[in-house]
Amino acid sequence: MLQYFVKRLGIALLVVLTVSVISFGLLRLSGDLAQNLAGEGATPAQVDEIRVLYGLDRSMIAQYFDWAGSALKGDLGRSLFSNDPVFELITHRLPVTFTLAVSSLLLAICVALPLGVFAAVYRNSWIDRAALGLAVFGSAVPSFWFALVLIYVFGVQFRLLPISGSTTWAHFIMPTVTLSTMVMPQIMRLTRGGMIDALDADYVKMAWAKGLNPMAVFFKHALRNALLPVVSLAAVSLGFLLGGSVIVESVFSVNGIGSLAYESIKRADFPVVQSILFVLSFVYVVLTLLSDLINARIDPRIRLH
Amino acid sequence: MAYAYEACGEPILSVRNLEVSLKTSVGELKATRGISFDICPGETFAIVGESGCGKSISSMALMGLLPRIATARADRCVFDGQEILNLSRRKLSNIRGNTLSMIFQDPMTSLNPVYTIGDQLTEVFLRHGKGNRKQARERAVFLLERVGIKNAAERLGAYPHQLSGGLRQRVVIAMAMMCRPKLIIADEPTTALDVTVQMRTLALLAELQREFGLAIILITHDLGVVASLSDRVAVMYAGQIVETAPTRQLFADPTHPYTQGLIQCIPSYEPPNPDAELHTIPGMVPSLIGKQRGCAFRNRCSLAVDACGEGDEIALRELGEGHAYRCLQPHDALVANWRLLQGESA
Repeated sequence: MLQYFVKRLGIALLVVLTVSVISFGLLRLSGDLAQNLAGEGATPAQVDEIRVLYGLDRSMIAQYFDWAGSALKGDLGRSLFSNDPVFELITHRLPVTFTLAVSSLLLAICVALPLGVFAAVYRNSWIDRAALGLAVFGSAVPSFWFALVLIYVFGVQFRLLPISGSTTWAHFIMPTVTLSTMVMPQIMRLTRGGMIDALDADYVKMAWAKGLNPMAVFFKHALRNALLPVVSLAAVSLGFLLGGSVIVESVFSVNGIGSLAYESIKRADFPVVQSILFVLSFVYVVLTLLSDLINARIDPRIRLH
Repeated sequence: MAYAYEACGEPILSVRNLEVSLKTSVGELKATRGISFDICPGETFAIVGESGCGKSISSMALMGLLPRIATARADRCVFDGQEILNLSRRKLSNIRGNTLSMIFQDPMTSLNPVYTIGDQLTEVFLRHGKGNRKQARERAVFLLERVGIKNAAERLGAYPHQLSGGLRQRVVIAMAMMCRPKLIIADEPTTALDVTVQMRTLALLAELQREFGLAIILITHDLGVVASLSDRVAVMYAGQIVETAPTRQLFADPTHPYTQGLIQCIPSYEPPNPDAELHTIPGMVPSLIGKQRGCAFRNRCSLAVDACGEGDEIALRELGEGHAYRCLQPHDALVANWRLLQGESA
């Protein structure tokens, strides 16, 4: 198990390194940063001045090591727009996004797992069809539209929920529902597929032959075997929710990291953009590592590889 | 009737006219056409036949484990004093794994890969309320040792993939024994094992049977297994029992032409002529879709006459001492046929 963990950790570190290099490179390929910062009416002399001021005249490799070196010490630089430390900007916004993403994922799992299990158990029944309908709805409906419908119905018509901001838990309900609707379908369908395979397996026949009750057969014997791909997908979904909730955050005016990224890109605030990319990719890698460890916990055969 | 070799008082399992049919896209398939047998406490009853003859699906029907497309009906299907075929799911699950348990064919797939064998062994004991966790563990250790697994207490923490095929089948056998069953259905228990392990596993089953007074239904396609382990045999062909007899009697006096063919197909260890070809039964098993008439074996039988294709089914003929066969030919003619076949192969 320890050997497995160390191996996974090594791979994870390499991924973080690669992502930081690529994101750093891409940002510098997206245009002349000095030109963007100087603005449209700037003279070439002013642009050069800014280039020197922010160290953009040096080689990319030197710039990268400069940035990576201070990032390792926890110093992510300062925002070009507000001059606030980037680290503070991110740690201020991250908890909001994190709360939203985790609650969305939990809601999605709470709906998707039982639904997937029963859809597989009662294949081609009305439960299965209803679950399929829900999945098609969830994947086909654009999140911004669904968010607006929720706002209209629950915020405007019935006045049950606040429509924007992130100050109380009630503010999180509609964004959570919107985001979980986006990730629920894949989790549900993957659970269903895995369960169908598991229910046909000999060890499930054996479980019935032992006289176990249906819930023990479905949830203890079949589900655990069906869960491996679902755990991996859940980790990827959480990463997606952390980085991809930009639209939903802006519809509900939730001040998360998604809206920070969006604002920073508009302002060409490259230290912030660079750091958000880095932090999110880091979180993503940690999640993947976590899902590998959970899977090793679920299936003893993985621990040996 | 020749359902049991000798009157054993109350049979542990009594089956009359068990019929299993499957709904398929091309029509109803009769997997079995009226199977009847009695099993006495403590005996081993072998059901032998080739793939698709209905032997496995009959056992699945007894366990209530038929696939959804299959339905079973019977005039009588009494296990341990209780009609089991139309039992509610809950009542049936109180019997399964408890007084009636099953050994599956492939130990590689019949143990759940994500739980320890200790968990899987104690689970069935606890489910049927046989005692607390400590007693379950003690029973598991006792049985693992009994089936010949060393360091049993340590092995409880092992996962199935850490054991060899032979050891896994021993675990499956121990699991079937956890609740002191009265009857074990063993569906091809040695087919998936290495030949060297097969005989040892069979010997173990025989020992356990003597020690604990179990009855066993042994489902197999291997007459060698039948000869070494069973007290009585039923030979199945295309969903029917075509011959039933005490095991010795079946090998001494195989009567039904199909039984004769099967026995002749066993390769002998020292062939008198090294160039002799292995025996086969010519032809194919008939399709079981739609209504069946007469003898299902008639198309492959050298003794078939026109009358073999008439009527719903051929009646079972008694020879006494529990020996009966389902054929229109008189016993003398069949004995003569067997001598002829023997002479041919000698």
